[in-house]
Amino acid sequence: MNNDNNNDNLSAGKNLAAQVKSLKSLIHHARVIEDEVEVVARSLQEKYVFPEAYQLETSLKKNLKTMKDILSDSYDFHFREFLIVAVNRQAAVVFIEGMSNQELINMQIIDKLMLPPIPGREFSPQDEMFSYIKDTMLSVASISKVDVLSEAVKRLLAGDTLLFVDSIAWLIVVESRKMEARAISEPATEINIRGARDGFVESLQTNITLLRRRIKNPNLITKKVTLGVRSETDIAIVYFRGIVDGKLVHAVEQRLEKIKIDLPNGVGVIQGMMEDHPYSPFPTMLATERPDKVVAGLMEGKVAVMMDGAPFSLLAPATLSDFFQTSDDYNEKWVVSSLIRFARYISALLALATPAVFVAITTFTPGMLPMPLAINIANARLGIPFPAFLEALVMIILLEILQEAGIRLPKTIGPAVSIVGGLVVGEATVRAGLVSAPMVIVIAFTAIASFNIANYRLNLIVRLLRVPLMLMGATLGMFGVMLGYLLLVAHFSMIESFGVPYLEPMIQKSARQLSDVKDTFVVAPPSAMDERPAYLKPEDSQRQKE
Amino acid sequence: MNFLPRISLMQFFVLCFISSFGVSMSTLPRSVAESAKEDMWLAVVVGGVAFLFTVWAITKLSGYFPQQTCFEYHRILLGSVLGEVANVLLVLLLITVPIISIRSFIVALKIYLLDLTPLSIIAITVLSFITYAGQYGLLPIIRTLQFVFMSSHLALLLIILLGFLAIKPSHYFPFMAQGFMPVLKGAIPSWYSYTGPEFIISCLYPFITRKEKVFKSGVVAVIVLMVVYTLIIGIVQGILGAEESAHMLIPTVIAYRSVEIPDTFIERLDGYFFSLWIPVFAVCMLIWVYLVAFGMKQICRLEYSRPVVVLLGPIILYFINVVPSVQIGSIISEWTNYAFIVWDIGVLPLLIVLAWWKEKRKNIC
Repeated sequence: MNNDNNNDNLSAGKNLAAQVKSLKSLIHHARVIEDEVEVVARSLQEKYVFPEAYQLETSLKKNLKTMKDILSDSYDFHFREFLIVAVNRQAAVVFIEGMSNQELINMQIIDKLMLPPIPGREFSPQDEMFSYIKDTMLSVASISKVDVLSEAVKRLLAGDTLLFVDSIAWLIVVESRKMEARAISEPATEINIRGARDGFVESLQTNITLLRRRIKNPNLITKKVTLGVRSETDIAIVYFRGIVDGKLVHAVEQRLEKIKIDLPNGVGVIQGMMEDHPYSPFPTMLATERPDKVVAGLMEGKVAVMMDGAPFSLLAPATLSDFFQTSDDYNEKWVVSSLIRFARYISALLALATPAVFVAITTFTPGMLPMPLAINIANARLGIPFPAFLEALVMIILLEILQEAGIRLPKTIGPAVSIVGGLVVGEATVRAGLVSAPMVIVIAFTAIASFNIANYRLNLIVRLLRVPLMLMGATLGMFGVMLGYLLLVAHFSMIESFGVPYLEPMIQKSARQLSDVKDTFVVAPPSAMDERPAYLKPEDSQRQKE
Repeated sequence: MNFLPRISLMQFFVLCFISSFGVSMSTLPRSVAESAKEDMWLAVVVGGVAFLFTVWAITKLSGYFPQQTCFEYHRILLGSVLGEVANVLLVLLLITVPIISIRSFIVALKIYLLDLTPLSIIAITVLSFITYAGQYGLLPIIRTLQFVFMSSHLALLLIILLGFLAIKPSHYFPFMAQGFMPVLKGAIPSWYSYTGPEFIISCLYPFITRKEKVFKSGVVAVIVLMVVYTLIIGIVQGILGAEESAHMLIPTVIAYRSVEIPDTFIERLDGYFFSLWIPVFAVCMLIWVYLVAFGMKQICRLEYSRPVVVLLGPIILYFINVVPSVQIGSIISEWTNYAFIVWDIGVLPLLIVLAWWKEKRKNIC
C-alpha cells in the first residue's frame, strides 16, 4: 500500500517536473518571439529616411512632427516652442545639441523674438515676414530663407539652427555652428626645424582659414562639394585661379563626383578612389598635414582636396620627387638643403636595397667585397643556423615589430621599447648565435636610413618592398636585385598622377624643361627658382615678377 | 582615346643610344680582333663613320613620309603585297636581335654569375621584365630608358673607364702593320654594334617632334656610341691584347675580371660590371621587343601593341631555347649582322630611289 502511494507520489512529482520544464521552455520561446517581434516592429519604425521625401507645410505642428520623424528619437535633437510676440505667431527653434551655439540661440534668437515690437515698427500684413524678422528682430550675422526641407535638414546637421514659424511654408536658417575642435598644433608626422609649426586640424573651416591666412588673395578659390551618400561629408577643392591648369581642376572635380560611397572615413579613402592607379603601392596624391606645404603646392599650380573631419589635405598631382621634399628645405641655405635632399634619396635607396644587396653579395658574389671584409663577414656567419636570407628576414620582422610597437605605445614608453628592442634584443640574438653581427649592422643601418625618408607613407612602401627585393636577391643574386630595380623603374614609368608622369621632373621630356630639376635632387637658391614647374602646365609660369 | 605619343629630341637620342649599346658590347672585341688585330679600335671608328651613311639614308627616306612609319611607307613604295613581304622580313630581322642577344647574355650570366641557375629561368626573368615594361606603350618605355640611362649607363661608363688602370700600352702595337684592309674587314662585324638608330628612326619618325633635327641627333648618338665603343675596345685590347681577345668567348667580361684595384673598396670590377650591365642590357632588349611588337601591330593593323608584347615573351623564349649551342648562336649572329648590312646599305638606298622617283612623278603630275 505504502509502496503504491510512494509510486503515485513519485509519478505525480515527475509529471509536475515535466510540466514545469515545458512551461519554462514555453516562456523561453515566448521571450524569443517577443524579441523578434520587437526587432521587426523597430525595423518597420526605423526605416531609412530620405529627407527629400518630405515637404514643408504651413502648420508648425506638422513641420515639427516631420522633423521628429526625420530625426527619430535622437537625444541630441532639440526644439523649443515659443511665441513671436511682435507678429503674434507660434514659432519653434530646432537645433542639435553640441553642434550649435546655444548662447546665440538663447540670447540672439529666442530672447529677441519674444520681445515686444519696436514702437513705430510694428508688423503689418503688408510686411514680408522674412524681411521683418531679419531686419527688426534677429541680431545674427548670417540668416537665410529656405523652402526645401531636405536643405534645411542638411543645414541643421551641420550645426545651424532652424526657425519654424506657424502659418508659413518656409523656414529661417540661422548660422549658429559651434563645434568643439582640437587646437591647432604641430603636425605629428611632418616635424620640421625651421618651418611653420601649425598643422591642419579636423575642422575644414579652420583648415581653410590656415590657408587664407597665408594667401590673402581673392584668387584663392575654395569650392565645396558634398561626398558620402549617407554621411554628406563636406569636401573642399582648393586652387589658385590664374595659376592652376583648368583641366586639372576639372579632373579633380570629376573624380570626386564619381565617388559614391556611404562615408569617406578619412582622406585615405578619397585618395584611394581618386588616384590613377589604386592598385599600385605608390601614392599619386600627396597627403600632408602642413598648411605651408599645401600653400606651396597651390602656388605651383596644384589642387588641394580637404575633408571635414580629417587633419590631412591631399595635393594633386603628386610625383615621386614630391615625397622627398620638406618645408625645411626652403628655410635653410640652398647648399645645405641640397645636401640633405640628396641624402634623403640615397637613404631611400639604401633603406630599400641594403638587405637585398647584402644577401645577394654574401650568397652569390662575395668577390664584389674587399677580401678582408668578405673574410670578416664569412667568419661572423660561422655557426649561424640560418641562410643569409632567413637571417635578414628574422631581423626585418623584428624591426617591423619594434617600429609598430614604438608607434602604438604611449610617447613616454615608445623610445624605451625601441632602445630595449634595438640594443638588448639585437645584442642577445647575436650572442645566442641566431644572427650574425654584420646582419644586425645592416638591418640597423637600413632602419636608420628609412627614418630619413621624409614621407611616412613612402617609408611604409619602402618597408613593404624591402622583402620581395631581398627574396629576389636571395634567389638570383645581384641579377635578381637589378631585375627588382628595373621592375620598380618600369612601374614608376608606367604610373601617372592626373596625367603627369610619376617620374617628372626627374625625367625630362626635353632640355627646355630642365629648369624643373632645380627643386628635385637638389634645392636651387630661391632667386633661381623663378619658374613654376612646367609639368603642371601653369597658366602663369613665372614665379618671380620683374 | 588613343593619343599619339610625342618624342622629343632628347628622348630620341636616348632611344638611339640605348638601342645600340648593351647588345654587342661584350662580344664586339672578339669579332673585330679576328680581322683587325692590333687596329681593332680603329675598325670600330671606321664602322661608326660608315654607319653615319645609314643614319642619313633613313632620315632622308623618312623625310619623304613624315607622318608614316616604315611599315606604312613600305606598302606605298613597294605595293601592298611586296610591301607586306618587306614588313614581315623586317619584323623577322628585328626579332632575331632579342633572340640572339638574350641567348648570349644568359649564357654569359650563367658562366660568370649564376652557374647553378638553369638558362630558362634567367631567360624567363629577363622576358618577364620586358613584358611588364613593354605593354604600357611607348612613353612609359621611354621614361624607363631615360631613368636607366641616367643611373646605370653613366655608372657603367665609370666602371668601364676604371679598366684603364689595367691596360698595357704594348698591346696597341704594331699600329697599321698590315695596312688599312684589315681595318675595313674589322669594320664589317662592328656594324651590328651600331644597329638600332636606323630602326628607331624608321619606326618612330612620325612621333618625333622636331623632325628637322632628327639627322643631327642621330649623328650625335652614333658619335657618342663610337666614342664609348672605341673606349671599350681600346680598354679590352689594352688589357688582353688583340690575340687573346680574338679567342675569348666574351672578351669584355674576361678583361674586366682581370682588373684589380687593390686597397680600395672596389677591388675587382667584374661584379660591378655585370651588375650594371644587367639593366643596360635589359632596357636595350626592351626597345627591340617593342619595335618588333610595333611592327607586328602595324602589319596586323591592331590598335594597341599590348597583346603583341605579351605574346612575344613566350615566342622569344621558345626560340632562345631552340639555339643549341653558343657556337651556333655566334653563327646566327654573324648572318644576322650580314642581313642588317644588306638592309642598311642595300634595301634602304633602293627605297630612297623609289621614294625620290615617286615624289618626282607626283611633282610632274
